[in-house]
Amino acid sequence: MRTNLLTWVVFCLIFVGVGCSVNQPTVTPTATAVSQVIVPTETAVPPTATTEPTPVVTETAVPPPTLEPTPAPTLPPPPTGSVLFLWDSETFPYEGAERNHTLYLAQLGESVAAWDVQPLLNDLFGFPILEVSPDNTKLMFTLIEDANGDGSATQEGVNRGGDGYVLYIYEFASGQSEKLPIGLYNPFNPAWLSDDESLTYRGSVTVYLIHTDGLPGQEIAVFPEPIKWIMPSPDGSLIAVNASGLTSFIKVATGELITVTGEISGGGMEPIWSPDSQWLALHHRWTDQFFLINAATLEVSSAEATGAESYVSWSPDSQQLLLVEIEEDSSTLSFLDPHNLTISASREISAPIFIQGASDVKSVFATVAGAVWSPDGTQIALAFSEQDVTKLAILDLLTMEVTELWEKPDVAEIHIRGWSPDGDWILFTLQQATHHSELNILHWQGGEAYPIFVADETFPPQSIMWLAESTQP
Amino acid sequence: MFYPRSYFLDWSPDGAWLLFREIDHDQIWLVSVDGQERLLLDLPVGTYGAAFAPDGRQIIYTASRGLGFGSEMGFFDLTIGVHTVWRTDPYHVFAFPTWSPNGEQIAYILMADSNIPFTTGELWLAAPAEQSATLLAQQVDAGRGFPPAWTPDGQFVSFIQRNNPASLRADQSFYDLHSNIYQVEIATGEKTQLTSFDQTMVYDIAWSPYGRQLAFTAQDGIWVVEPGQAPIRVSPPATVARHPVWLVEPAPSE
Repeated sequence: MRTNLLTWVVFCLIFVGVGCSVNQPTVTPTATAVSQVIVPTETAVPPTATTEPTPVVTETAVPPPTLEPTPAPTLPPPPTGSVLFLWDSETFPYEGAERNHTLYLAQLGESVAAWDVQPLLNDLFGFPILEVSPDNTKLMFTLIEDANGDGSATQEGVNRGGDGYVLYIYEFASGQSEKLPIGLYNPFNPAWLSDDESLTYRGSVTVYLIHTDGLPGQEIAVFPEPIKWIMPSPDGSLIAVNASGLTSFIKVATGELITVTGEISGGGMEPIWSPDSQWLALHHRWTDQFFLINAATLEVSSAEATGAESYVSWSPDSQQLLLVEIEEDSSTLSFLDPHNLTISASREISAPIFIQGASDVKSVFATVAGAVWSPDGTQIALAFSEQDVTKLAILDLLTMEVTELWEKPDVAEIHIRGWSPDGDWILFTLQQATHHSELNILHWQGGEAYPIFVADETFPPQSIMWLAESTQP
Repeated sequence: MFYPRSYFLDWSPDGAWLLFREIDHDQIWLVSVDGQERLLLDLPVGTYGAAFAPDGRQIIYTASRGLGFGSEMGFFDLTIGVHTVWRTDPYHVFAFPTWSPNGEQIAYILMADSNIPFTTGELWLAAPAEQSATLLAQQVDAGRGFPPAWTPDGQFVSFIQRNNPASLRADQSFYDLHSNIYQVEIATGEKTQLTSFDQTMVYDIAWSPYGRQLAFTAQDGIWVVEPGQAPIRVSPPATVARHPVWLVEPAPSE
């Protein structure tokens, strides 16, 4: 245990929330809500994922020994849920900078080794942002619109201020998409709220709320200077905002703005809500600063981490914070109690855990550690490299033992995409050699990795996420 | 070579190569000045900035997929042709990473990812390949394209500080900036003001080769200033002159 690697200086700053009035004018949308059905057009057929070919046994002159029949290998029960991902099927060498993605849904076939991959939405130009509603019935996505009427809708047009992204909602049951009347182009940080009917997003200085029932977007807070980030709490009651050097909470129900602290400012801060919405962790990887805000009391605790590259994530029950510190040839996983910021347990691994690539669903340029909690909080899936071999392993939090599950040499990049909704399977992507990528699943007890999707000489799949079975009755 | 839409990024330290971005194919090219050789660099989608390290062996790049996607900054090793990500920020845009003369530090500007074209930003300092960084200054002008400038001895970084950070007009209109030049001493973090113009756009800073004078643009003219002295306009009053570049450093006056 590396107790010397972390020096936690805990102090508490209690800030009495100062209620500030917030303008709540109704925004008149400039865009009309238009129901648009996206018709599939020349959908790229995804390559069929195949497992390794079964070796052919050639009979020889020697009669085979009589053996007890080998029992057929039994596959573990397949995962629940499906997998969504984007893919641009253009083959290498790529012509031009514009990307055209298709959204695919991979559903289980007869077994975990057989997946049926079908397109859902075509012609998603540029780099769409996707998020499934909490009840898994709808998908929010962004789409480039020909805002300047020049006949094309391109990412370069967005970058030059001509075109702009707008928000759409896709309903899985009906297969219909509808544009939301958000009243501006390029909504930043769009996210669902917990009621499955509302979303938040921001402009440069304004935070908006919109409902999916067709009503226009509504301003809920306006700031005098550019907003640096917003982050809605998982229960949808608060939106954390950093602007004008202040970290504040907006009460979604009333629009009340509560200033929490001016201690936390500067770029590079990463806000992370606990799943129960009780805590907001703020981690600054460049300056080793770490803050924890109690959302109920507005108490702010702070600590200093070490100089190692560190990543923070919450346990599913919100009772622990995992701090992953990655060094050149080792990694340390420490578990912190948010109530007192003390370390309850620690585990060192003699290999650097992967810092996962910059391709996330909602924020493209973000990095996370290859250490992902299981849904029940009893295990952590790990991706690391040891002597040029890429490995996936499980850390059992009861025994603190690490069990290696799978390995492969010459993997350029590996990314744990998440546990299956039932907590039995690990979804991961890997890139190998030039322009070869795979989307695989692996059972937490090990065994073979089953491919869901393989792409050669083309782009890797991205924006990969599990789609759990709908929770809507 | 003919690239209808492209822009220049940087000269190699030996002057034999240049970097430019070809917009239509989103590519970064390294081209010899005689036009005989050209290399397509394997850099991320949306790479918009690239600058040679002083030893010419690597490049620092900045990339973003566009508004709302944040940005990343990393290194491209020219000896092996591989890039590595150094920093990512889903909420901010990295701009103008500028190597110190000895290549041991990098100053860069960080600004909020927003629709505001000419926002303010922060000036940061970091050592290559290390994660830690130091915030040097806030309210730095960002978005107009004014990179920080190291003194040739590497002891100071100069930058454009915005005097009217609350001006909405200055957020939207290029020429509504009111600014002055400041510098930070790297060893102490102490900030000093080099110019004191009032309601004037001061920009385009360039240190003389030996670091004695700083040239800049203000009031449609070229000025030079020595730290601690009043600036002197060196271009004729009746002419419009901007964007100074030092060719040789004049001998100090007696």
